[in-house]
Amino acid sequence: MAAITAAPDEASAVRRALDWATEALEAEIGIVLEGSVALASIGFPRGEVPPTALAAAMSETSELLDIGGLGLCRLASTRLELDSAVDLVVARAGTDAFSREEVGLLRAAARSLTMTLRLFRTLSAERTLRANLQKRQELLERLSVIQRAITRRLPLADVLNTITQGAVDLLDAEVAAVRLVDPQAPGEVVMVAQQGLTAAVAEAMKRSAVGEGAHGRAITEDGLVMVEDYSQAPVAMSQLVEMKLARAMAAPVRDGDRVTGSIVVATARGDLGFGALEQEMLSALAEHASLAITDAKRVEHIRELAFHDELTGLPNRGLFMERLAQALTRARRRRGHVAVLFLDLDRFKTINDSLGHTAGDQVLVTVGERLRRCLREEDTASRLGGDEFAILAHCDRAGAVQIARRVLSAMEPAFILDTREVLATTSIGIALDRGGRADAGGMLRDADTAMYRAKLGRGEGFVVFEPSMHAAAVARMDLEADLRGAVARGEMELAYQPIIDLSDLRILGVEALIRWHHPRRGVMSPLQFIALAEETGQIAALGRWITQEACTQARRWKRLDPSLKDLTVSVNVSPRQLQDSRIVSDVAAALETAGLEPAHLVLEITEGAVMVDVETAIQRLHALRALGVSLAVDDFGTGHSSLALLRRLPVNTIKVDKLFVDTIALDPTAASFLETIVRMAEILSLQVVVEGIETAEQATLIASFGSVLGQGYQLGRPMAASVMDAVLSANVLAHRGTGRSGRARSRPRLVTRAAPTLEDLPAPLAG
Amino acid sequence: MQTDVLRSDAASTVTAVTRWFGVGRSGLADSELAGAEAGAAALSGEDGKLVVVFASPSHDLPALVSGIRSRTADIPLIGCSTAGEIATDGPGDAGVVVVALGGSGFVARTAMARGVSARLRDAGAEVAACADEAPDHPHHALLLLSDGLAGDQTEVVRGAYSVMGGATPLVGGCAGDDLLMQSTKQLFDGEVLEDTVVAAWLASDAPLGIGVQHGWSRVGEPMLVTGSAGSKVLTLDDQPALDVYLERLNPPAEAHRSASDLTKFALTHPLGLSRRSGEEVRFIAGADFDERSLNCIAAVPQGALVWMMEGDLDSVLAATDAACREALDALGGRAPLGVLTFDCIARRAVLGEPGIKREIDRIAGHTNGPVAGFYTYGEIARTHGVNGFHNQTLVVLAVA
Repeated sequence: MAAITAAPDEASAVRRALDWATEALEAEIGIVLEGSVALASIGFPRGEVPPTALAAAMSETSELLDIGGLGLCRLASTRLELDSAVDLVVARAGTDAFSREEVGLLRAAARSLTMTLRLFRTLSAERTLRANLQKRQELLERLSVIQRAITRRLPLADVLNTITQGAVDLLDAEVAAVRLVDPQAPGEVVMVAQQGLTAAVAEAMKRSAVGEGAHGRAITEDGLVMVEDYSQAPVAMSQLVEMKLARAMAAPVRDGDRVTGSIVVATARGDLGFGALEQEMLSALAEHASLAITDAKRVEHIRELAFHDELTGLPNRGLFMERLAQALTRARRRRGHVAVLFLDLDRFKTINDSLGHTAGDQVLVTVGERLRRCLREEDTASRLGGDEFAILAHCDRAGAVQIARRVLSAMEPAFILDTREVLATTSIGIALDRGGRADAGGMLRDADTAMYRAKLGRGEGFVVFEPSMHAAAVARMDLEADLRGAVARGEMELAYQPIIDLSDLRILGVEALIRWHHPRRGVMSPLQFIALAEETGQIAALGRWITQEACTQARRWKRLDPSLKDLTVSVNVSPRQLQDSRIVSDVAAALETAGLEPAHLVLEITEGAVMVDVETAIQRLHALRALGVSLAVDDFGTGHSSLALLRRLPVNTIKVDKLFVDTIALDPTAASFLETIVRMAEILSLQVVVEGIETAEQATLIASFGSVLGQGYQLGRPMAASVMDAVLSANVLAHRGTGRSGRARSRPRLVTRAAPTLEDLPAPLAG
Repeated sequence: MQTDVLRSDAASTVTAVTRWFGVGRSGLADSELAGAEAGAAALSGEDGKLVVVFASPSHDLPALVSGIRSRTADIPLIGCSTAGEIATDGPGDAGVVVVALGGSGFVARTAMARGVSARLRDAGAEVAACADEAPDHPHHALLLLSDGLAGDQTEVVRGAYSVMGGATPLVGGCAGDDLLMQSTKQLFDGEVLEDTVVAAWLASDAPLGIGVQHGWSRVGEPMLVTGSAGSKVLTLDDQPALDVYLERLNPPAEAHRSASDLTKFALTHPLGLSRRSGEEVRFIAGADFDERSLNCIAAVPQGALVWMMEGDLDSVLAATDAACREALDALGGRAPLGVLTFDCIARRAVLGEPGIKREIDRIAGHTNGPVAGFYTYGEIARTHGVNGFHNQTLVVLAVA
């Protein structure tokens, strides 16, 4: 742009401005119009502007123009501030709109041209040619100093000081200052550069309200402001009145096309006004201040915005893909290794939904920090979007696995939010390449697929991609589709497994377990589809159905045989369900509909479900307890098994995981551990249910620890409700005459096999 | 001798319209005979409209031109010296390639401007004035062959653009001198000239397609041009540009000290300039070791995003395919009669001798017809915007 102001004559200034603007905006056509005359044009055959194009360029409303040979073009124009109407117009083939930044560039070119033309025109008109020539020379020299300062990227404060110094010198002013609106307090401006004020006065005037002073008016009015007889002006500032300043002039400073501040000059000389030339000079200085600010901001932000995720500061998907593509190209040349790790936070959606986006963002920022610490300098961590992160590493399988382990352990500690701690484990999928055979998109997709596998499995938290997983991913999508509507199609069924008092083998309760009769895959266990239902948000509806069905069934058994009046039914609650506040009303509604006494419904939750967000979980459990339902901690002993936590939970029952039972007959420490749990539960007044009892020896041994309930294949497999009818009846008959608390005289025979034989059944039923 | 002739006849309702495009090459050492042989082979029909010559500077060029014109007579002729010639059978040196176009489907006008180095822009405008009216030949392009050693050719292209306007594509290249970098020649009718630009305005009743591709791939992070003046890059990301360049690419030790070694290395490691309409390549012609700046062949605007670029055989050949497809796609489904190629000498450096043979085979494979062109010191292709001067690029003009 310095080339425009340095042009030797008017015609070349116009042409240089036109060249600069068309090139900067990548436009095909450019016209400088004075009234209906084209002063210069580019892009038309033989430089002749066709009348239609001329008319369109002159119209202030038209934005699109059909130019022969180029088709539809987008127009942008800006008017020069001259006595006659001169417009700088560019047209670009296609209908893409010009960006704000591009329009800003056009205005900057127009401003430089305005200033130059004005100088030429003023010069030729005025008699005091010599003085003005000198002044013009001075201005141009000063502007070129400023332009150099901007070009060399001197600190913004230095550039603005150069501008205020220029203002004082060129306009014979005592005071000059640049003020910018404080982005933190948009009603205030801060003085960022000044000349002519003592340090004390400058400090006192550092902040002022936007409306104050000539500088304030220039901002609110978005135009050049002249204040004559300063001391009497309503906007006068006391400090400047004290300095006996007679007149002031201010012009707005912009960032792009937004007014963000102003430059002001003031003089004590009453005899000399600010004429047209002085106004133009201040406008030119203001324009240069605008350029410096826009430029400084652009440098600061452009890379961050274009290539980094604003929240975490990590490279974004675009930059990640770029680096991955480059890594693959290099790997092709050097037969190198490339690994992509795809990370996804488990249950992040739950955190976001229950604690709000701010909390979610806090977690993401922390994840970003932890990832950075896990990586070597040459590796790249990126946030792809949402809660998805990726790592690009230059290593083989062993190296990638090492990184995955490092990341998983870095993610283990709780995320400390403002008021609470949250756990969010991570699943990682790994895709590997040697020799750059893969393409970037494919590699990321493979890592994503492997990540899903990691999420579903109960492995180490990471999975390395295998080609067979593609098929699995497709199958998973099919399954997801099948799952929708499975309830409505009647494919879901509840099976019931008895929960038995080990002291007398009486059935005290049943646990409802869901089965899916898939039309093609046959019977599927909850392990095969509950996680999927959680991920896809279908768990809420499924959970409602299970609870309702189980309550209704329990009520039916009670009606069938009054001696089953204390029978409980247990229902599993998934982590996602527990985070959903609707669960309380859903359970209440199910009890109401079934007419079941709340105490006879046991909701089983895992420790893991609680650990997702302990505070919310505890709150939710209290609300459920308030309904009167019983609560059981499922899979006790497999997770954190925190006694402290257990004491905070309003639960009645703990269910000890099968893991402890498996080794009990062989390993004395396992037995004593189980016994300790039973004792501890007694102290805490908790009922204990031991799961997974598969042999008579186990049952006998566990019964010896104390008052314990049991569940397992030895005591009864999960069975259809209709089969359970018979088993319950037989159990009732076998215990008739023995009190609930009393012991049978002779140990009763266990009659809970899934398929009762005739011999098992009491006579009335067998008949 | 290799001759490629393809003749196309298309019937119109009023009169029979014909177009033909012939390429002749000669490897004969005797310049006059070589000219005659290639000229005769190229001339494959009646009603010749334009002759374009790409000749090795090792030839006695006046004798060569005289040999050609002994066959092509007074058909308008433009041409230039090269850094290697291209014909259908592959690349070559020390030879001559002649293209001739004719038939009632073509209209051609030629022009030449002298003393270009002192008036780059005016010279561009002057030759562009040869453009004529041809209502029956709605497809046109201006072919420019210029002296790349005579100053910033961006200005020549800009001058031509100021006359042609946005609706006519500009295409061509800068003459070469087998990398001696001393002087290049331009040919105009019977004359052998220096410091000139020669041009041919070609109008056709069938489409002309242009493809432009560079085939360099990005290396490392993007950088912001924080300081530049014209074609000189002062700072990248606020660091001295030369230091950034050396640090990022770590060329051999000599290139850290010697300007000529740096230039040699830079031939295969240009700057890529991010533009709205894609990416432009800037060849680094040298560096100022005191100022720590880089000198490019064309302007690098301050505030632009740039990448270090590098090329390998695969990426350069992929660009060849893309340029051919781009040019052929613009023919609206018609088969090309032939193609002209303007291929940067730097691409030849990356591809190596076996590679350039593969490249030309590929071009011939795509077009399934005659190919003619040369290795250039700068390529011209303006299809959008006002800029049309390129470096390290392949430009393909397909003629239907």
